[in-house]
Amino acid sequence: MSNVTKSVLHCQQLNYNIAGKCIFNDLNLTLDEGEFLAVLGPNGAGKSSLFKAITGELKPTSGTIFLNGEMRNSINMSEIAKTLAVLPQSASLSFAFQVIDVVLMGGLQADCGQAKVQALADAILVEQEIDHLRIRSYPTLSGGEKQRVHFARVLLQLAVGNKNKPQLLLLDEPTAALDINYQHQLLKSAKHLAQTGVAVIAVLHDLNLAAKYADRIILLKEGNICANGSAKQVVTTENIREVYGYESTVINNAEFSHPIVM
Amino acid sequence: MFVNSRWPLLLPSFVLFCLASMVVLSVSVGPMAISFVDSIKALLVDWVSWKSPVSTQNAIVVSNIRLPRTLLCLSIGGILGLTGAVMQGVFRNPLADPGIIGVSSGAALGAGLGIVIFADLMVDLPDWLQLSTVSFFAFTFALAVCLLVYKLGTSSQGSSVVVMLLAGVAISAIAGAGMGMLTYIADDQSLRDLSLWQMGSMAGSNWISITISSITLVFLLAVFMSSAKALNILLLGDAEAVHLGIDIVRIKRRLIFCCAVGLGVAVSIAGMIGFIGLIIPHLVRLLVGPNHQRLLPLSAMLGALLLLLADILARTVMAPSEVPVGIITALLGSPFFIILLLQQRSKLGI
Repeated sequence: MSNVTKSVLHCQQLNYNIAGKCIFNDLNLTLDEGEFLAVLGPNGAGKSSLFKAITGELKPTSGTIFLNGEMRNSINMSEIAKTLAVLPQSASLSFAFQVIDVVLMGGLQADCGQAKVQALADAILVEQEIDHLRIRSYPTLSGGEKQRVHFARVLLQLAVGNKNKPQLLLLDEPTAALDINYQHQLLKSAKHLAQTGVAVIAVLHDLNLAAKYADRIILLKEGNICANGSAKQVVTTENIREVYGYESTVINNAEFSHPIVM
Repeated sequence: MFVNSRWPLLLPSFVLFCLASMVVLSVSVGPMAISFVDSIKALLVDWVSWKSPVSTQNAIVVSNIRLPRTLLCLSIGGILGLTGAVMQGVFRNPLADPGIIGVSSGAALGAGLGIVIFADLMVDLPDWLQLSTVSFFAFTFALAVCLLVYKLGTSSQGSSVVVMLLAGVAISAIAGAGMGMLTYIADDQSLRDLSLWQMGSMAGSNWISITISSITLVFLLAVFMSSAKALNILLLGDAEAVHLGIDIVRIKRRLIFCCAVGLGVAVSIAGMIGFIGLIIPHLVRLLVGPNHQRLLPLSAMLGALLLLLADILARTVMAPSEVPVGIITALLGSPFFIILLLQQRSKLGI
C-alpha cells in the first residue's frame, strides 16, 4: 500500500469493457514524482482509453485510480484541475479569441491575483517562443501553432495550480501536428517540468522520441502492458516485433544515450 | 477590431450615449409631435419633479405612453441580446439563435396555451399574476425545447448546425400547428391576445411588464456575468472545460435554465421578436471579440438599442397606424441570417 500513498498516480486493476470487448484488462500502473512516462503501442492498443480513464473522461468498468494517494472519484473537480493538466490531441475552437486569451484560460483555478496570472502567462509565452502570436486570432493559426498555444495554456494551469502536492501532466500525442524542431522543443519543456517534480505521461507514436525523452516506456498491446522499463530495456527488436509485428533494426550506439529504431 | 485595452470603457460609453439619444428620440416620435427639448423636459419633470412650463398634455403622453414603451423595449431587447449570446456559447455555435432553433416558437405555444386554456380561470387574478402565469407556461415550453434541441444536436464535438436547424424547423412546425389549434378554439378576446404573440409587439407595455422584464434582465445579467469565464472555456470543448475544473453538466443546466426564463418572460410580454439574439452577439463579436466578459454586457446594451430602433421604425413607417415590431426585426434579420449562412457554407459542407 506504501506506493499508493507515495506515488503521484496509481492505477489499480483497471478494467474497461465496451460492448463486450475488453479494451484493457487488470491494468496496474504507478508513476512517481518527477517521472516522465511514455505510453506506446499500435493503433487500438488501448492507449487513448487508458489516457481518458486517467483524465476522467471515461469511467473504467472496475478498478481504482489514486492521485497523490487519494481516490480520484473523491476529489472535487477544481482540486483535480490544480493537480492534473491535460494537453488534448486537438481542440476545436472556432471563435476568434486572441492567443493570450486562450492561454489565460489555463489560469481559471488561480488562487493568486489576476496580475500574477498575467505575469506568469507572459513568461510562458516568451519561454515557449509564441510571444509574437500574442494578439493573433486563434482560428487563423496553423495546426502546429494551435498546439503550442494549448501547451502554453496547460503550462499556465500547472503554474497556478497546487504546488504543495506533486502535479501530473498528461500529453496526448502532443507532437502529431508539430515539425521536428517543435517536437523536440515541446518534449524538452515537458522533460524540464519533470525535473522540477511534475510527473508526465505522454502518449507517443514515435519510438525514437520516446526513447530520447522518457525515463520509462510502457508498450501496450490489446489492453495489456507488454513491456515496462527504461528505453534500453523496452526498445528492442523482439518487443517491437511482438507488439507491432514490424521487423525493425535497433541500434545501440555509444554516441547516443538511447537506442535508435530504424 | 475595436478592442482598445487602454480605453476599455470607450465602446460601452459610446453605446450608452447612443441608447440615451435613442430614448429621447423614442419619446419624441409619435402621432403627436413633441420636440426633443420638450420631451427631455417632460422626462425630467417625471424623474426629478423639475418644475417647467411643459404642457401637461405633453408630459402625460411622454410619461404614461411613450416612456413605458421605451423602457419595455430596452429590457426586452436586452434580454433577447443576452440570451442569444449565451445560447450561442452553450451550443458552441454562432447560429444558435432562440428563434431559429425553435425555442421562441415553443415559448409562444406555451404562452398561447396559458392564454387560451386558462383564460377563464385567470380573469379574477390580478394583472401581475396573470402575466406571471403566462410567463411560466412560456418558460416551461422554452426550457423543454432548449433541452430537446441540445440533446438532439450536440455531441462532444460541439453542436451540429444541420441537426440543430432542422430540429428548429420541426419544432416550429409543431408549435405552428399548436398555435393553429389554439386560434381555432379561442374566443374573441383570446384571439386578439394570440395575434400579438405571433407577430411580436411592444404595444402591450405597462408598469407591470416593465418591472417583470427589468428584474429578469438584471437577474440574467448577474447569473451570466458570474459564468462569463466558464462560458469562454466551454468554447474550447467539453473535455477541455472538465480538465480545467469546470462542472459542465451543472453550469450548462444553469445557463439553459436561465435562457429559458429570459425567453419565457420576453415572449410572454412581447411575443415573437426574432433575430435580435442572432444579429447582436455577432456584431459585438466583430467589435470586441468573443470574450464573454465583454460580449455579454454589450450584447444586452446593443440588443436594447436595436429593439428600440426597430420599435421606432414600427411606429413611424406607416404612421399613424403601427407595424408589429417582429415584422421589422424579421425584415432586418433574415438577410443577415442568409449572409451568415453563405459565410458558413464551407464549414457546413453544403
